[in-house]
Amino acid sequence: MPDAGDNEILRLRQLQKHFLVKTGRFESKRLRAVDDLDLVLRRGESLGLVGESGSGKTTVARLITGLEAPSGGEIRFNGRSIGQLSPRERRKMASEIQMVFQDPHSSLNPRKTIHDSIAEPLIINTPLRGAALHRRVAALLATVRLDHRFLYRFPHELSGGQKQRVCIARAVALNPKLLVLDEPTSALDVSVQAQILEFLRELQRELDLTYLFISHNLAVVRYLCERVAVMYLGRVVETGPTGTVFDHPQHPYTEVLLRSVPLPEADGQSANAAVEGDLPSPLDLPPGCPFQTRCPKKFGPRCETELPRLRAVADGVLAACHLHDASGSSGAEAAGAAAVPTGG
Amino acid sequence: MAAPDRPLDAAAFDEAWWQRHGPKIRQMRIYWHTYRRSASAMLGLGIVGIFLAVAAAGPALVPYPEDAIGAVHMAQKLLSPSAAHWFGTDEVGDDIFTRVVVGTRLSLLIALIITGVATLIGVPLGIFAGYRGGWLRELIMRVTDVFLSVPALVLAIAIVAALGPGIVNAMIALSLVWWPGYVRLIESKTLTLKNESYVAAARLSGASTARIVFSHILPNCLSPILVKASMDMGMAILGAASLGFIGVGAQAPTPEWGAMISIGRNYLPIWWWYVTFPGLAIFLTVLGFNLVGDGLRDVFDPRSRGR
Amino acid sequence: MSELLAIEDLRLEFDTFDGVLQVLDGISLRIAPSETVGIVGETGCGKSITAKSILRLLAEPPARIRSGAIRFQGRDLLTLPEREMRRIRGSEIAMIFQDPMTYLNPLFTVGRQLGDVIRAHGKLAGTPLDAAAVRARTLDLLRQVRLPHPEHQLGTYPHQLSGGMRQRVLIAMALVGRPALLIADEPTTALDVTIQAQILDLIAALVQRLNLAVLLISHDLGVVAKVCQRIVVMYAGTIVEDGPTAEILNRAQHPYTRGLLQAIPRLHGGQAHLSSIPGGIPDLLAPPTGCRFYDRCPIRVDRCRAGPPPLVAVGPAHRVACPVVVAQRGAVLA
Repeated sequence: MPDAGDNEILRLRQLQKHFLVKTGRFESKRLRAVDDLDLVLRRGESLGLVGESGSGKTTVARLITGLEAPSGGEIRFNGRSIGQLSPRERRKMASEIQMVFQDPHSSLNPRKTIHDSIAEPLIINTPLRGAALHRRVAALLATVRLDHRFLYRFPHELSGGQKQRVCIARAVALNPKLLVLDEPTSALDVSVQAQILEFLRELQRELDLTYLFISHNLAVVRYLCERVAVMYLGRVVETGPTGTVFDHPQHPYTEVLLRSVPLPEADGQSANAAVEGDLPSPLDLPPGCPFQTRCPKKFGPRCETELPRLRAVADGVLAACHLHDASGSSGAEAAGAAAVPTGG
Repeated sequence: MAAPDRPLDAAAFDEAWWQRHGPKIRQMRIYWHTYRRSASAMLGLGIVGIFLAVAAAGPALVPYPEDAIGAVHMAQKLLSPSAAHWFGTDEVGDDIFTRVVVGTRLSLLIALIITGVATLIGVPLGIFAGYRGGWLRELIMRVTDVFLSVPALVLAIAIVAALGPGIVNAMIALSLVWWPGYVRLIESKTLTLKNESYVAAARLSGASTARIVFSHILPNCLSPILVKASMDMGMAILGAASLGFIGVGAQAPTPEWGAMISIGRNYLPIWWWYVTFPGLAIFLTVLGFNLVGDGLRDVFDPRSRGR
Repeated sequence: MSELLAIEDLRLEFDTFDGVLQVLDGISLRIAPSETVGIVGETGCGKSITAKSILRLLAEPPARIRSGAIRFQGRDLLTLPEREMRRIRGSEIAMIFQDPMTYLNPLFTVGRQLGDVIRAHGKLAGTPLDAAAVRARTLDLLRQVRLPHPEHQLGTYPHQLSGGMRQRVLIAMALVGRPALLIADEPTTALDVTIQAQILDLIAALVQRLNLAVLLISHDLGVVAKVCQRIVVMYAGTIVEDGPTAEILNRAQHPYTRGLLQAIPRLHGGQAHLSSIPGGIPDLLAPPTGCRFYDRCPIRVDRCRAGPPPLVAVGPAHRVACPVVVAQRGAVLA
């Protein structure tokens, strides 16, 4: 792992989140939503967290923000361990870590006006009241470039993009250092998405924020995030600078993911889908690499028995794949077939 | 900070009353327009309105006020409906119209108290069970299940039998029997609401459980509560009347509709008016409240409207 | 008749609490046999409503077709009695939708549901099938949609399947009547990227093997680019541009299409900024008399407000509804 510096705002170490699922009358199985997850987020950067359903990326968001408690492992925020906080301490985190949720239509209480929704964190955490409170709420609305006539409207009178801006205003009300954004533009049209993405960039500079940007849309992540982490079935399988990872993927799943994205380009479409089959059931994971059931580059028994660990494979890029592990038996020959650039 | 769209001066924050309350008023008007579209809902509203008016002003305007408290006029007993006695008289000569009108206030009051108490007990328990979960939820839900597994009226009769007959005891019995319905309804609604993103956002803002419950969950439960409560008003009237009919509710000479039918039953079929008019009153109030409840449900949940 | 489907100047309104929405304003579209056409547009452009109108799936109040025709193999679908429409739906024209779960009955197995459709079609065609024939056809269809272990899937329930597998089952159901046209309304929007790629591949393969024409609706230009030979771009109830896929992606002419293409982030990067289109869609209760894109258009002139801009050819099979562009490029007789 690269050196932990004190420009590190968040570090996840061996993070686990398991759920017990009843699979029969007397039987339950363990669902490993997040398993042995290692991740580092540096101050001021945008880290993209990508993966498909079942990857655990939303669970990671909920663990970091405290909506769920981890089953194991460590979450360090600014050096402090925040995995097991008391409710009072958790409340203090409200001004440090905040989140913007995926669906703008259910992120705002339909019975509260926009003003009341934005004012809530301020009422709970600050002594602001009356005119001073109104001023601050109006100022926040201005920060997200919404006219103050929206203050006393109800959420259903706003469009998706406007609602998302309100959610962002609410999230930055307490001047957090870290903003977790869970698919904030997935429900929005392309042109509205473009506005919100541009706006998020400016906001990051203005307010000196760090972003953890969760998305299944790789192009959006490329645009907004300097670094990216790719998740599969609860673990990070590759991480590094976005451009490098997307142009020269080191993990077979990253490659598959990139090849599957349909490009709005008339040529350059892959002729066949990159991978066959569905995700294996997370309740019945085979030992060894979680991707072995669908991996086009699976090369031998090692993939089936040994779990690959994240190791450095190139400049700033870490990948968890036996292909890159020179100490393994068939690593060397197979490595030659790996790391094919996928365009640029 | 980015330049705001308009200059922010102190005067701007004395927002015009209209701007602040405009959207809420508009929302109410939309509800009203939607409600108005349904003929049956308007009919129900009309019926309920008439009975409310009767309950409010009736007792002051009745032709024979002393008949409501049991004056005896044996010379005028069992007279058929006429200009002097619109609904006829009963077996002690009391004007049935007067008694029905005075009984309206009584019945509506009973219904309001029963529904009110049931809501006040059932809703908090339901929210508590739904939000907290765990063993407390199991406890509350199982107790609720026990209450719900006994037929409501049978249980009410049993409670009144234990407490002794009388209108107050009947109300206590019915309230105790009514609250479990609310627990079920609110518990399931709370379970859904708990997972909404805005509740998660409130938790992230540091909201305490109390704040989340009162500020986020309760307001969004109001529509089903309102719908159920309106229908329950009718059902509560019926319940009180049923207890009165059996003889364990209101006691003579209180002009309670059910009690009147109970006695009037003996005078069928010749002196038909004794049973008919109180019965009609019960029928109309229950119908009215049911229609209002239906109308409210259609207003709040447009999907339930037939297309 | 060289064309399979021709929508001619379709105009549709919608009654709402606030008034009458002018949802579709003169949509004209053609699909040839075995051709794949994609409709792209953002929320409110009317693409889904256009698709549903073809099969008359919209409730007539509050929707109302003011004028226009939809000709399928020569017959105007809008004038057909409901009985005739029912014959066409599911057999000659089939449709699949966005969320497969809501279109499958959770109480019956996949085999049973597919079997029911097969039996119904057999009766409709006057050739009732016995149980063995139904089972054989069910398995055949499941194989065609590349569902793994088809014999096993006969006994599974929808909730046991993943999203991608459910969508395959729905595609199988759509293929029962051997349709000439498949309408797919955002079929992969709810699916993961890798599964989406599989389903799009499947659709492309089915097009080849069965000579199927496809009308694919999506907000995602990448999806449409992968499967479709032609793209139709819609905005606020009008068609602003249509043409071969390569033309639209590389040589888009209409300012809305260009704005859209510039707003899409690219997987291979290289964008300093994403330009977005300022403003929002016009109010469909009182739409502008001229071009509906006027308020947001960077190249507008007064003439644009005069009347709805006609679709004019500016290249082989490439039409644009913009008088400014047409004047610049010169109309081409296609």
